[in-house]
Amino acid sequence: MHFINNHADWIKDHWIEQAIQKTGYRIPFDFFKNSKVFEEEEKGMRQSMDPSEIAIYRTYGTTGTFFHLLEAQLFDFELDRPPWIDNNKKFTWWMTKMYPGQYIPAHQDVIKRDDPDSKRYWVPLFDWQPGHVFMYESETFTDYKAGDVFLYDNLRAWHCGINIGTKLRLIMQVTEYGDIND
Amino acid sequence: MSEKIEYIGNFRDWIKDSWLSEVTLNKGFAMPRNSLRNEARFNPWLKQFIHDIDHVHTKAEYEEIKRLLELEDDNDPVIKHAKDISLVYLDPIRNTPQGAADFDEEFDMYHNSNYDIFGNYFSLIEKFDLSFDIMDDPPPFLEHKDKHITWWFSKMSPGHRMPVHVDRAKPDIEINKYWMPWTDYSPGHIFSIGDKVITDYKAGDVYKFNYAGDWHGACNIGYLDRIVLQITDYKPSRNI
Repeated sequence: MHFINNHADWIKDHWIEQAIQKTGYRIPFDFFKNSKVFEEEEKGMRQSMDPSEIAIYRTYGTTGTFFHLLEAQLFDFELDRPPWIDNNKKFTWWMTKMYPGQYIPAHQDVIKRDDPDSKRYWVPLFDWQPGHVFMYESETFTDYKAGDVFLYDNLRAWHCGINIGTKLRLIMQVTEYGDIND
Repeated sequence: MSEKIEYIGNFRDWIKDSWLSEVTLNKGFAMPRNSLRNEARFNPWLKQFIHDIDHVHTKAEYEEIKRLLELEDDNDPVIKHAKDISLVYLDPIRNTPQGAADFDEEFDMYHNSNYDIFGNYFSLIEKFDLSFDIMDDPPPFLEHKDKHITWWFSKMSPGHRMPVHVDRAKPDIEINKYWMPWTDYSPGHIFSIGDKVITDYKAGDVYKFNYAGDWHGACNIGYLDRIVLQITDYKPSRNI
């Protein structure tokens, strides 16, 4: 994972305000609450989970709240096009919100969009705080500023994050994929 | 790596297989949930009030303990410790904002950040819990002559997390801390100090830091247990 640039000017205050107010999906609690995820997957009714994701649920259970997932459709605003994204590409985004004590165990992402050239960016929306940890393979990222943009070098790298600090941790993830005309 | 942390070397050969097996099998004490129970084992004053691990004292019991404590000699370090730290653990309203008000700044901070201040952050294994004493075969990296040595193991299972904090230390005493993992690094094993995180270590690696005045914390968001030996040494002053 490597640093691209800082785009703090692109971030709007009302994005942050809404993200703080919204609960979003409590992962994995809400994910499992109303659906039989494993059964649906076996029947081919949903895309297969990555084995690392299954390992998370088997080890950590499915009834807690590891973190809050805030997807684009939850918000009342349209995100301005991220300035670092290729103008010929589509993009999708979401946020992860972690209160003190919350975390996402080590896992590998599923590359959901069938595009070998897709790119994923990691964008903290707050400055780094002690206890805010993001690990990507054996690298850790600290001392970052709100609006720093990092690119995942390998979409299948093991990574995890935790907030063992005392302040909220809010991260935006942006995926660039496909041709804008497709 | 921070200037305050120094990698000393790998001393895996010093770790006896029998020690490692014993520590691996020992469940230890859930901390801070059972810290008072743990402490009561070697604090005779406290022991009389801790009958079983899950007992929550009534307000009347708590008031009586408080009254008895007031009758004791403040110069006794056991009594002083009981007054400063232990008493709040006995308060039945300890996990409410009103009870938390009696805690020090560190606990206030945890409480205000919505941590369960009586949760299970890690398992503590002390020498009282083990059949061996590492000082019978002192660690080769330790300069222990004329020094007071304390050691313990912290064991973190998947999901355990110790919020960031700053160690309390007496500023007039030079303290060395040694951090020695007994398990290889595995993804999700995190020890964070200042803006650094120690990764990619091997069992037996030793890191030394003078004083954990920096914010530090640890967690295991991986899949394998993480076991770390922690050693502290200091040279007692004549007043101690």
